[in-house]
Amino acid sequence: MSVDTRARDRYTPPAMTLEVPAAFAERYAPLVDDAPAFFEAMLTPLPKSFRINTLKATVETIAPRFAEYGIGIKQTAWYSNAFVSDNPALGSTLEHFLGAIYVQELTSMLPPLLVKSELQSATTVLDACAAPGSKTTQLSALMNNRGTIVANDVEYERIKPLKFNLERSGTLNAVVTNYDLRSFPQMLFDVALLDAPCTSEGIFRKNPRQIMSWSPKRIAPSAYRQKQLILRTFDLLADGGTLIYSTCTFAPEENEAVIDYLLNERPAELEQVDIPNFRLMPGITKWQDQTFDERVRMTARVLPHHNDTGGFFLARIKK
Amino acid sequence: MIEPCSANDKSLTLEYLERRYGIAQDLLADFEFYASANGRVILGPKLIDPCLSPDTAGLLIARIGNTVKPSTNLLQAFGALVTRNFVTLERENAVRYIKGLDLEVTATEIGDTTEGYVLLKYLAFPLGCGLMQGTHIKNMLPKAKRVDIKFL
Repeated sequence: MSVDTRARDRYTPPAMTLEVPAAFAERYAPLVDDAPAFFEAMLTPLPKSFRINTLKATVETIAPRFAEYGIGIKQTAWYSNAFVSDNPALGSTLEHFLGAIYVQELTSMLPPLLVKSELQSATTVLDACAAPGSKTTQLSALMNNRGTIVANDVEYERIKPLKFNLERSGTLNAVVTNYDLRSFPQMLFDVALLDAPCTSEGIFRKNPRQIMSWSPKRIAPSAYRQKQLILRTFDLLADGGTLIYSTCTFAPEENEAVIDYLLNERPAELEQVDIPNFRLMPGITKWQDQTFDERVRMTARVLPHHNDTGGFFLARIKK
Repeated sequence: MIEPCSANDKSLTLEYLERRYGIAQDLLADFEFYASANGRVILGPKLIDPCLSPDTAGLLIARIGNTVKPSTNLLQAFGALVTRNFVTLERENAVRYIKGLDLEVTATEIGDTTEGYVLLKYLAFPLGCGLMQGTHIKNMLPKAKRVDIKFL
């Protein structure tokens, strides 16, 4: 199907008509509740969003400053430190320079929120694929700079922006490492985030033109790697520890199938994913010729048209 | 790579921060000091598992050479605790500082601040580090942090 995006563009309106590839539409229409709304959202640019870094600021200190600037911001109903704005100039504010705000996609704020209570007592936290640092800095803020976060990323060229963002945010409790997770030293963590590298279908809204080059061929190799990563991350979890697995893609092969694989390979338990005031869809248990463990329903799919965000997948796993 | 900071460098840094900026030593007690190449002093988490080979940790807070040079990271993170040797800039100078330019300040702005590394503030916001010599302030903001700010 095609959607004329001119009316809903928030930034500079491109005078063009985008189209969802037929294979994409055919693949994902059965997975969503309202296919036309889903595809229309996919072709609409994401609103700009940011998080208040509570290591340096509060809602009470930030909101009046943006009012003075004449930059409209709107607090989300599900996270008091998350805001959206129609103004693309967030990066030119003093608050951004000081690290008092962090420009971050809304869905990227979800995994740390799912372990908010665990972080109050956690002493060791692993952010397994940490660069560029959005979630690490949020974890640090939720921990009030206490405990130790190991912020790991396998790609060396992504370590530099990770370090820059940690510094700008005033993050003192992070240790930056550069391991391939599969050879990460054996130690145990109370909490682990695995925001796995994926086919990133959920962030096409950042640049809707990207959807034109979508190909299903990328899914299988990505899923293969995710299965290796989730087993290793689970093995790095202390007994009673919590693992959040997330991706920014819709492909069940990279989401529910990976969780199903973990449940078959390890003594993992799933817990219901719930974020008050944020609409989620339960994970699916059937996809093409595959049937997944019934517990996979406790995972969650984030669809773009439900909360005006990117697409995302979340699973909350206990050891 | 980082390693444990020597007791001498740790006490040098702590004493400097207290003497020059009024940052009480016990305010940093929740963190550990580490050392990196070229005299860099890092403030990071108390516990780092010995099996890890970290690329870095925490914040680079100072560099020890002939003297202690504080970092902009330190002065931004702990700026609210600084009670002396800071200069509060007018708006125009704040914009120039964030852009990476050196500054000329007035005797009124300097007040009783003494020459050397100073915290530069705008209103109550800690912007970063400058090296004050007379009424001239050399910009010590790292190049990667310099931006043309539009809203302040």
